Amino acid sequence: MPDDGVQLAPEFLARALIDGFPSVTEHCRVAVRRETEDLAFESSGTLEDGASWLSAQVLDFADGALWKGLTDIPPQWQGYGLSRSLMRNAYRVARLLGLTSIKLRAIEIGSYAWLRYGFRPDDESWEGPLKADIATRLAELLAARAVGEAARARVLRFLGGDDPALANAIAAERQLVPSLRRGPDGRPVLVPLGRALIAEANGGRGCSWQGTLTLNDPAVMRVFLDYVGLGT
Amino acid sequence: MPDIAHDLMVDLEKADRAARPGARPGDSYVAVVMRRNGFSDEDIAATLGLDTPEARQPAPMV
Repeated sequence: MPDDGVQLAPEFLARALIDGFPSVTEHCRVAVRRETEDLAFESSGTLEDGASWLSAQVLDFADGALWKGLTDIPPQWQGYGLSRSLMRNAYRVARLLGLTSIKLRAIEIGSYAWLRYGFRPDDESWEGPLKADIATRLAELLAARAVGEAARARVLRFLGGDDPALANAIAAERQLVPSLRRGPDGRPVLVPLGRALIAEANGGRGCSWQGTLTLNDPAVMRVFLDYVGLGT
Repeated sequence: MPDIAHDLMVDLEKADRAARPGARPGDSYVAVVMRRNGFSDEDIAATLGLDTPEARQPAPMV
C-alpha cells in the first residue's frame, strides 16, 4: 500500500475517479460506512448540453476490491470515450490503493460487454443462471437453424466446463446469427453468436451475473488495458 | 438513462472494426482460456473466426 497520506484522502480519491471528465458542473460525495467498513463514492454532474451523468463506486478494503456501481452516461454522449475514461480512472485508483480486483454486477448489454472487457463471472453466477440462460438461448437459435454444428458443439463444451472464464470464450464466438432486433428492412440484424447468446438471453433482456476483473492476471490485463486505451 | 455498458459497447464495436481482419482485442485471452480447458488450436481459430479467408489476409499497412 502506498504511504502518502495526502494522496489517499477520500476527496482525492473521489476526484481521481472522475478525472478528465468534461463536466460543466460536478459534485462528489464520499461516505464512510461503518456498518460495511467501506468507502462509498457518488459523483454527478452536467455536461455542455445540460445533460446529467452520475457514477457510483465502493471501495471495499476487506475484500481488496473496487466495486463499480451504477454509472449513467447520457445517450447523446455515448461514443466519445467517457465510459472508457471512467474505467481507466477506476483501474488507476485500484492500482494506487493496492487493490486486486474490480467487481461489478453485469446486466442487459453489459452481460456481454463486460465479458469482452475481461471481467470473469464468479462460480455461483456461472454454475447458476448464466449457464442456464445461455443454454436456453442456444436452444432457441438451434430451433431456428441459425447455428452450425461445429459452433453448437463448442458452445455445449463451454457450458459443460467448470471454469467461469469459459463465459469469456462464449462471448468471443464470432459466427454471425440473426438477432432479435430487426433492421430498417424488417429483417433480423446479424450479430456475433456470443452476443446473441448472452445479451439476447431471457427474451432479449440479457443475462445477469456478478464478476471480477483480476488485476494481477497479465492475460486479463492485456485485454482490459487494450480496450480502455492503456495498452502498449 | 442507459448504464455505462451501453457506451462501452459502442467503444467495443469501434475497436472490433479497427482491428486487423479476423482479429479483435481480447482474442489472445480467449485463446489462453480455451487452451487451459483442453480446446484445440482449430477450435480456437473457429471460435475467433480466424479460419476464414478474410482472416488469412495480411494485416493492412498503417
